[in-house]
Amino acid sequence: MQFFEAFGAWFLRILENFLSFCAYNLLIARTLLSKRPKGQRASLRVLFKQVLFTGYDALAVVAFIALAIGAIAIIQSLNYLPLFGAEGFIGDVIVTVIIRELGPIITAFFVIGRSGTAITTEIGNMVVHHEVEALESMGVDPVRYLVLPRLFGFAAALVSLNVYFDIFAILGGFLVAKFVVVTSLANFLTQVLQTLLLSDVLISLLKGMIFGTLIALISTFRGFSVKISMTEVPQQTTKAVLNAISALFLADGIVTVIYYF
Amino acid sequence: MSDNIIEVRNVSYGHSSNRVLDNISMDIPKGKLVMITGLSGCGKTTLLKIIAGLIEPDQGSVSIDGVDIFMVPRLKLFEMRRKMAFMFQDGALLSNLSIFDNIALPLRYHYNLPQDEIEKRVLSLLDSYGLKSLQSELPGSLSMIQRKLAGVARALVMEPTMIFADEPIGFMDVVAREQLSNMLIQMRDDPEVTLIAVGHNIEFIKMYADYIGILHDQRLFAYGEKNEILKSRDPVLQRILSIIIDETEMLAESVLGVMRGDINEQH
Repeated sequence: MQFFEAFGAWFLRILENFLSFCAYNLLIARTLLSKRPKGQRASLRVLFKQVLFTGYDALAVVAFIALAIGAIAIIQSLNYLPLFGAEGFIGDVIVTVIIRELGPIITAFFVIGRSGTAITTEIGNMVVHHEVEALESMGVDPVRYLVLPRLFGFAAALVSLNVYFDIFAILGGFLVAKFVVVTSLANFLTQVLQTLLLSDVLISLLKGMIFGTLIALISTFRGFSVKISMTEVPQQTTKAVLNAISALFLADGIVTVIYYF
Repeated sequence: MSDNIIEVRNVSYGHSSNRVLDNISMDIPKGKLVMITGLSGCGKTTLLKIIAGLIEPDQGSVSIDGVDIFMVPRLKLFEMRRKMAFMFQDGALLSNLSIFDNIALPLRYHYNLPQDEIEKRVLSLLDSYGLKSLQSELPGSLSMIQRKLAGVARALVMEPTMIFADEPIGFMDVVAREQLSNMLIQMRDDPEVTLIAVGHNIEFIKMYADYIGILHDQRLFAYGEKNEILKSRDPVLQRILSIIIDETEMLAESVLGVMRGDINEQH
């Protein structure tokens, strides 16, 4: 009996969380579609800062990771492709593995760990210190001021970072290929571009937009889920990371299945 | 026609086993200074936040200008709040914005004003409260009193007609207390501005309030015009007032005692 009680309580908690998240998304959609206040500067500043933090400040680290991933993918491929006489499929590896899948996923992971946690912590602290209440008291809609700029900022940053990641991953792959199979940049790029379809690029960008939106929604939701105490902030931040990662893989699976099947 | 701008009806808050406020009703006339007092922890701040629409009561309603603020659409309530201001006890400034940006925030959000107009209004307020030199600082580097003054400046920047103040002159030094007292008196004298404040300072209440409300034992024990309340011969009411005075003096003494102790140790 205890097992069923525990299972029931767990299930109801999950359901309550899910329904709260759905209600939260409806609130955001309603705010997005409602009349904007006359002043734009306040929200635009938040948007600009978010794009700067999530996108621009991350360029150096993303470039390093992308170079490494590109190099590792080609090294592993060059271990096995020659066994089947398939050295010419290096371009396919770059497109299928990196541009379609690893690029969007790894970039999203990086943003979750760096920016998602920062957002949850920031909003959680604002709730505890009555700053969200202060916004409401001034007639400043916390959804419009805190959430919407971050939603657009994350989506824009992740789309840009995807493109940036792909460029450096291709470069990383080329650097390995140049020394191992002694190929030129022109040959390498030709192989990649022969495999790359416009749809691959568009799907990669679409994934970036979807992942960015999901991360922003989940991180801000968890921030607002803090009620009273500072000890809730790290708890909700951990939940934000786990929820975002799960949502990411679910969304990736759905997009991949819909498009490629 | 009623002169009441705010009507509170049967407001209760908290679970039945842990009630904070129980069945409170009151009318707040336009253009008056209403002070709500009571012992520490009696629910003054909670009541103030309910009247301001920041907390939803478990039962009851609050109407401002005939509009039930808990039934109105969310966005409509945000619009109504353009002319309402809440002064938090600790300022409640946004920690990642400078003092200037904190005060300018409601102007930037609600209006499309040019930058020099925003600067003019904000700098004028900063100057009034002696905060001009701190305009680029973050709230974390300010003292408690400075944060509170900045919070007051932010509340006043939109020229509100309804002000909710949580302990506006509580635990302030003499200069800051005088600044804020003058501000409250100026607002009180404006017939278009309605002020609702909670606090312990009985001397201030006696001198400046138009209406007094006394919270005790989760209920609004007494509410009415100042003279009516202060001249009441109800022994229970007089006892409650004297306890509030004693509590305030005890707290002030304990703070002073700690300060004296610190000073003696240093010397």
